[in-house]
Amino acid sequence: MRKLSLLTISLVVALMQIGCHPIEEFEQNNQGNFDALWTAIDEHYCFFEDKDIDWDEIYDKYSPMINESLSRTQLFGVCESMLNELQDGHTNLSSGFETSYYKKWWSDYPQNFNRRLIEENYLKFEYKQLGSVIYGILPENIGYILIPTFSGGLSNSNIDWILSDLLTTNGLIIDIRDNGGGMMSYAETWVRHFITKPLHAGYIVHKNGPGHYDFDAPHPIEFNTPEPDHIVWIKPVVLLTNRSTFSAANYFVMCMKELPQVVHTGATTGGGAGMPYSQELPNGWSIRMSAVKVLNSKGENTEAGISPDSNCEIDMNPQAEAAGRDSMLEFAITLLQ
Amino acid sequence: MIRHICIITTMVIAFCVNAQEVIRPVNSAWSAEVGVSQLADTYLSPVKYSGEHYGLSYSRRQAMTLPDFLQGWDVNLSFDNAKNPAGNARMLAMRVQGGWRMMHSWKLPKSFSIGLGGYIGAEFGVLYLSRNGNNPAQADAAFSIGPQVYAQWNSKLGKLPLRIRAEAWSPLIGGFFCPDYGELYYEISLGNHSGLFHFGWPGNRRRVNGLLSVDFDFGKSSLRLGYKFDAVSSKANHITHRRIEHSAVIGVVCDFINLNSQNALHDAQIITAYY
Repeated sequence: MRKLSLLTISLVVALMQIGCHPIEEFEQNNQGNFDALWTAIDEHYCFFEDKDIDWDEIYDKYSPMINESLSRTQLFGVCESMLNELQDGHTNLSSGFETSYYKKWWSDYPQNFNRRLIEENYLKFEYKQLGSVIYGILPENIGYILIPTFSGGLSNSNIDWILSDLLTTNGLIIDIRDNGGGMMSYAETWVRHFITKPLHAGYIVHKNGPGHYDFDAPHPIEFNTPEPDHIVWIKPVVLLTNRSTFSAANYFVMCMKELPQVVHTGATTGGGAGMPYSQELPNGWSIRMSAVKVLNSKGENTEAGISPDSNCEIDMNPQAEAAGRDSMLEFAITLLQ
Repeated sequence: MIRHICIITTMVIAFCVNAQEVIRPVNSAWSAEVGVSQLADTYLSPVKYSGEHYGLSYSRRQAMTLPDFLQGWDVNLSFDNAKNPAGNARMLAMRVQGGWRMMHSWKLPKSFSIGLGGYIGAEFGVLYLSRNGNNPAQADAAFSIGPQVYAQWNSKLGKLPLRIRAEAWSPLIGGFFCPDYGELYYEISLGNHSGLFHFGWPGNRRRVNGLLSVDFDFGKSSLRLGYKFDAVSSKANHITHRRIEHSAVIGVVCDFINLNSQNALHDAQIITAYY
């Protein structure tokens, strides 16, 4: 009887084990790849509600354009147009011949940045460089740091070197115009050198299911101060941004704006407050999309960009630029004087 | 009181003198496996990847002092290298797993024997898909408890003794790790650890691991040839994970006894792990 019971249990277990959990599959043809793309966005994209996008309506608009006679490039074109409806700089479709990229988040705005002009006319080519970061002291005894990207990070010790070189200045301009982002953790390393107590920088919200409203509870983003042997900058800071300040750079602005010594000037940032998540189509094309929301400390979405502080919004004066002057940088200097 | 102690001591000494030395050799097997695998994890990609599977295993079995029981443990290190159907992306998987098992054996007529018992095991691994940005990897960690069975037939090929054995195990309960549906590991690193651990049962995590082997007995050691099947499927937080491996196995099997036992080998009772 005991053996029979054991055998029965074994059989029940074996029967329960039969079969794997199903995975939704799409045909390897134009319609299948289009449907796979639409579904990946449908299930993972995080800003449908924020941008008031009816994704089913988008399917009805673009699906009739799909047929099996479309070439690969034609299929790609239809898919790209569909993705552009999301108006999202973090959403790309990548194939072996092209990567789609929504440009209007920055192309419809003035560039507001001329790096050569700063290097030549303000820093006189006498700046220092550490990694991709350049820095120097302006004639007004104001420190200037240009962080062009967060794709490559600096260590705390690297940042100590930079800040120690600028310690005698009266204030600091951190120029992140044209900084298209990179790693949030690299941005965080910088932020921690400007805080004297733990900082509640914002929230991160991920999807907990495939529905458009399936979101987990916001999880707070908090930074601790750096180790005691690292430099913390407590003098005034002016943050200079343009529309091409995007993604991790937008996140850097979001965090820095929480600090009392920081003033934000320049132009509204480009946003990019959805952390990208990757998926794949049957034909091997890769899709990247905003899937995780990053909110500021008030729980507000910064996907559309972060506006400068009141009375601090400024664009580059084209005449001044033609004359070799950066009117935005000069405005930042006046804020520190 | 002293009288009672003396009687008991005398009985114990008498038992020890008359008791026959019992030796329980350790049946150890080292094997390598090569085969094919199918990998899928919808956290990384909804597409199934297929490719090669490689592994190294060590297993050890020994008869227990409990009559007709054997126990042992296994450790396995494996590597999978798989491509997507389009052939333009590669998914890599590395995993180490180990487990302890205990089974009761029944000797059947005509050199057959069967065994039934249970095992407890754990595995840790990672799947890596280099083309992904913020979700390039998925951890594969689980522990499980479940039944294990084996059936064996001792036979001969000409004059060469051989042992044909089929064994399999499958988890019944356990626990496993799975991030939330759209949760990035970055968020986990920020301290959001809720919902990562899942109680496992056959409804959300299924696995069958089987080995069909033939051990050709050349005296001091045996050559093992076999076929191994390992399939795992889990679903949690709307994420489906699947791994199916078929592999050919080649190995060496030896029975070891300790040096002290060797001195008494001539008159010892030898109880092997398998009949």
